[in-house]
Amino acid sequence: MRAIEVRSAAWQDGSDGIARSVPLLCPALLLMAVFFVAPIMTMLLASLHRAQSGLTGSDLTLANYVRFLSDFVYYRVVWRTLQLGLTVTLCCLVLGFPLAYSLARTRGSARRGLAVMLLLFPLMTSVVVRSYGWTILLGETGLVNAMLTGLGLTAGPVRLLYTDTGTVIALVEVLLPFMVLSLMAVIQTVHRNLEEAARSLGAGVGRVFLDVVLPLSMPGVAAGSVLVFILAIGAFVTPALIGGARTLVIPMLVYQQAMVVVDWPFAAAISFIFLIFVLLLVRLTAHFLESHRRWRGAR
Amino acid sequence: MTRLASRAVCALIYLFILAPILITIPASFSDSPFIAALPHGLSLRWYANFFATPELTRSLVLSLRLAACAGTIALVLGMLAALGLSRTLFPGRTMIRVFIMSPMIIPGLILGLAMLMFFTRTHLAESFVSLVIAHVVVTLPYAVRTLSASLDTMDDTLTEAAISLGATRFAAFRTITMPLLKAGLLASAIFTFVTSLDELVVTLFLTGPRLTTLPVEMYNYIEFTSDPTIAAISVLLIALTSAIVLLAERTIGFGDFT
Repeated sequence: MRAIEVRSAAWQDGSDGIARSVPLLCPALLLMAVFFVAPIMTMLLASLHRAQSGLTGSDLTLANYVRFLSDFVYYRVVWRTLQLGLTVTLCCLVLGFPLAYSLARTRGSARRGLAVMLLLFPLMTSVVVRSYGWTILLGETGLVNAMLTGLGLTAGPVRLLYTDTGTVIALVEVLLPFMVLSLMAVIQTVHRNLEEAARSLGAGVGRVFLDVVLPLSMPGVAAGSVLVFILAIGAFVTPALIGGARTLVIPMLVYQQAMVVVDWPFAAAISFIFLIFVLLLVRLTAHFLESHRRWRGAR
Repeated sequence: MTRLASRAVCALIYLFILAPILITIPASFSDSPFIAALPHGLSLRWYANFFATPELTRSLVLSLRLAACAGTIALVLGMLAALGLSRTLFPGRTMIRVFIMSPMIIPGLILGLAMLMFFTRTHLAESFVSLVIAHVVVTLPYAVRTLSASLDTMDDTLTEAAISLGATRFAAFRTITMPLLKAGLLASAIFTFVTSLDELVVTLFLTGPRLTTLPVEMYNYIEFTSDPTIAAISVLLIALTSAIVLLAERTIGFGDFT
């Protein structure tokens, strides 16, 4: 009986809420409809035109999609992009977990504030600046090569700039803060007592990590990995500046087709396929996180 | 011992994260036109070169104007939207939130291309207005997210109490909600301003020879020249960001920010 009352109260609040919320939400929704939805629709329409049709004819075609999906050259670009995304995500996970763990376990708000600030600082620095910094570090006379030869690890300078390795290093650095922040948010909710209980029952550090901390941090691992993966496969500036023309990934292909070849319909078709892929990935992750939460709630 | 090892690991990871930012500082004071991590002689010539290159200074002015305009609009729209999304439960609320946040997950390149096509069709291409609109769409999610977060932690009963004591909704908002939201508003203003100032990929599609922002001009500069002028600009931008972040830390604190 009480539940019914509560529910009806919520519904009342609902109808009242709409009346109050709609005027507040209107400006933002209007802006989004005109300047976000309409451009994406324009792009979809453009992708259905032939290259030299001026984008206005009523003669629609799927030729651009067929062209992308039937040429082996583009599959290589797709594969390269996914490979880059997976490598970067894995590196971010390996480097990010220890840092996120120790930040989540840091006591004292002043020290933690400083640590988090140092993580947010790179996020607030332009990607151009950070990628440019890597071009200084990775060059043949750069600091990384000076260190490698100085320590006697390599005989001479190693080529890092304009290679895939260089792109991976720079992208990992650019995206690492996103991974650390996602992981940290979840590790904080894993109670310290659980770890201590496992330790006191005789589990070693490795066991505690594998059997307690990692399984309970899975939502953070999933959220952080998908975020980093999506940002990595969508990144344009870093691959363009560090990898150069050698690292041809999907974003660079889109840019080339749009701004150099000026084949807008084809660029639009590739973008649209890419967009659908990203949205599906986000949807699947949200689904996974939701079912994971229910599963934990049920136990 | 394990404690010391874990500290060392963390320090190394931080060094990795900050290395490309810090390296621009020594590089910017070099006296030779060739990029070197550790310069042989010191000079300020690349800073002078920045201020003597009209394309670069003009783009800096444009970037600052753009960030101020777009940031203000995004802040106002974001504030209204965050208020509309908070406290009231109505069907479709989650969907609206996801919709407003969606420019964050869509790769900037796709958004940029879509906007280029749209603005070309509506004859707004290469105009300051189109840049402002694009930057508002890109920064709005940041504004809504930070403002929603601070609205959620706020105690509603204070506003309710004011209303039950006879205050109008607007008066309650002005005298109760606004002062309590000060920190959230500041954080939100910083995020939108800095995001707009740094935005590159979407803007890259919308700028032209007569209308470029600083990040776009820097990107173009790097493609053609390799002297340390960009390092000098980087240092100036880093100084600006640090000042803003420190100001934010002083006023709101990041201790419980996640």
